[in-house]
Amino acid sequence: MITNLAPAFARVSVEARPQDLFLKKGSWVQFSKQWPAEHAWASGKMFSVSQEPVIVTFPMSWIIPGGDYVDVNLATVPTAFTTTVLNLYPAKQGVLYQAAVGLKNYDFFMQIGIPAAQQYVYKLGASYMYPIITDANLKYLGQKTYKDSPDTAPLLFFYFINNQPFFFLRLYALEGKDFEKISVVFYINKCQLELAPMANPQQALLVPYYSELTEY
Amino acid sequence: MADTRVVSNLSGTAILFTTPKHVKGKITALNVDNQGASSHTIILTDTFTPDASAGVASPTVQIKQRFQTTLVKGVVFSADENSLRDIECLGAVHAVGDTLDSGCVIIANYHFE
Repeated sequence: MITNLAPAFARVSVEARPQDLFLKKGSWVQFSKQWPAEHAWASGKMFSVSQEPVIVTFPMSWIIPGGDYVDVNLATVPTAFTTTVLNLYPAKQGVLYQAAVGLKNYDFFMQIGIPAAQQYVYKLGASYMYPIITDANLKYLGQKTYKDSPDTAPLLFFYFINNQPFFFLRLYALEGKDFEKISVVFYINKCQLELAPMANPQQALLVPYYSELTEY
Repeated sequence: MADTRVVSNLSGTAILFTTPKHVKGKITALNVDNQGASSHTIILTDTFTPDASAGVASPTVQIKQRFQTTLVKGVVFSADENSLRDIECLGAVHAVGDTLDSGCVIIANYHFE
């Protein structure tokens, strides 16, 4: 559901374009068995990418005061697109969107939650050790910055299927700035899937359910 | 992308450039040549409308002053990239002059990043 390569891999991108890290036709994808019944078409199953994927680039920017933040929902909802509800999920089953997220080298950081505040992906085990935006120290816990995933060579990947719980991004402009522009670039790799029950699980990309990322 | 904008005969406000949505504007060189009849004060402003945020639900247009200089008659002012590097522009950048004077010329070099 989400992967983040180590920053050391940024050096690799000098020779490998961002799309070289994307799934390609024939790539194998396995969904964890933890995906619940409403995603039965995917849960525990192995797929291959059946067609050459299409990559859609989508830059987004917000100007907000320093020391302030904006929450952005990545999910697709019945209402229209807004600047805080981006509708990035597939509209039907049998499709996986692999979305690389790159951050511009501006003065902001990003927290990632699913499916709501206090269900942060990058938190620690104690119940109070999650990013608290009003806390002078904990707001930096699990932050993602330009160094973690540059916009020109993104290292952070989300995986979206139809109707899965929503990811949200909390984008925080650093204090000390009067106003700051927050710029994030999404590279959405649209993958059509077909069942591949004979695929080798050890060579497949595993897509876990969010509870496997957040509940320990 | 980089470009140069020349403004002469300034009275009131003249646009230097509009910063595209997903980048910041950086002024890399600024020359003001006042060969006019009197001293002049030149101001650069940055005008933008913020997005709604947790702290400001209904933001209003912001006009931020990024630079100001006053030149007496016959003086040339030059600023290079090093002295301008911390000026970041988020929206529409204007030169604002005090009085009409065809002898006062502003040349701004800029790029987006």
